[in-house]
Amino acid sequence: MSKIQILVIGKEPDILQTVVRLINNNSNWNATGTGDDEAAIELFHQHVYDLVLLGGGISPESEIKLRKLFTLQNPQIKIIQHWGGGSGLLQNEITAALENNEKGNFNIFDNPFS
Amino acid sequence: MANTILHKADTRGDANHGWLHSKHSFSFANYYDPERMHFGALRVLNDDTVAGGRGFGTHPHDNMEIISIPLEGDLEHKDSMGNVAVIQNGEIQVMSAGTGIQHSEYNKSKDSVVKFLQIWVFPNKKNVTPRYDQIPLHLKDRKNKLQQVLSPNANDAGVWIHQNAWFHLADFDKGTTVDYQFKANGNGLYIFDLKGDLKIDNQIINTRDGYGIWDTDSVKITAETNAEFLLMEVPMNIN
Repeated sequence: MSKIQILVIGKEPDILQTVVRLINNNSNWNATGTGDDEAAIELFHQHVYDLVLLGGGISPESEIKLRKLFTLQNPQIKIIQHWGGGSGLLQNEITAALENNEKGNFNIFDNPFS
Repeated sequence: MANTILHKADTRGDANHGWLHSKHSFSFANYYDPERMHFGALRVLNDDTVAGGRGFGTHPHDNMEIISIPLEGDLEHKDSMGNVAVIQNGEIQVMSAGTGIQHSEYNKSKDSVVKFLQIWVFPNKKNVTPRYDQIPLHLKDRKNKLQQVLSPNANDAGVWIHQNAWFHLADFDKGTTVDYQFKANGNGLYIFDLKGDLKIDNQIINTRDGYGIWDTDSVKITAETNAEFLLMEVPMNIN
């Protein structure tokens, strides 16, 4: 069985490294991490991902751009926000996203408080 | 008509790592129940017991409001902002993880356990500047009344967070009643029964049960026995 491919984008290197390491602890998942928007776009263009995980530090403008580009290229792509930074929520968020459980993740993309 | 959800204590996720025994009211780590992911903006309610001298090594967080309420023993905290502190029963600690922090938490005692509640609330703003605070709480201020321990406002009682949330602690003698009035429209109330029996409107809850109620303006809470409890009012819709 091929592994679930996960692209992780986050601006804080230590947290990004932790998130990638934790995801890769699951033998069925394979994470690639980057903190750079252009590198993320290039990776998404070159590889097939099942899930994109947005970590901390991404500006609203970058998030809009990345979501639009990823969705244009693959309308089925699941893009979720990772909350907490390499935390006990990570496994839940990915599992819920893969099960299409909308309760599993929050996106404050349109949050009026933001 | 109010909506409600009852989480009996013995239905919580149970993680026993030897040094750490944690009861998860909502899905966390290896405990995953798609029907128990959150209560509005309240994402994590962990009821933790940490063995003497043990604890959580340095680990990162971002974009989360993290509240710790010690119930027994002393918890030593160190973080990447240079904070070194011990929190104990009668205090409350808050961290806004924001753009990212690293921290550790250890049981200060080598011999006795530390028990504390670890509560995570989704923030209403991403990538804020990380911050830390801890304040003492006066136990007499919750005797037969609600003691506000958290709010969205820096100038209000208790600590504050980046979310439209209010927490209260209470220590009621048997028979004491309060009508809790919601602070904001669209908020729900999650009641965590720390000890004793409570009647919430017409629902009886017991020690370590959780009970959520929303789509109402007020909630009547009566102590059926001597009881201690935590009220967490949070937005139900944060999208």
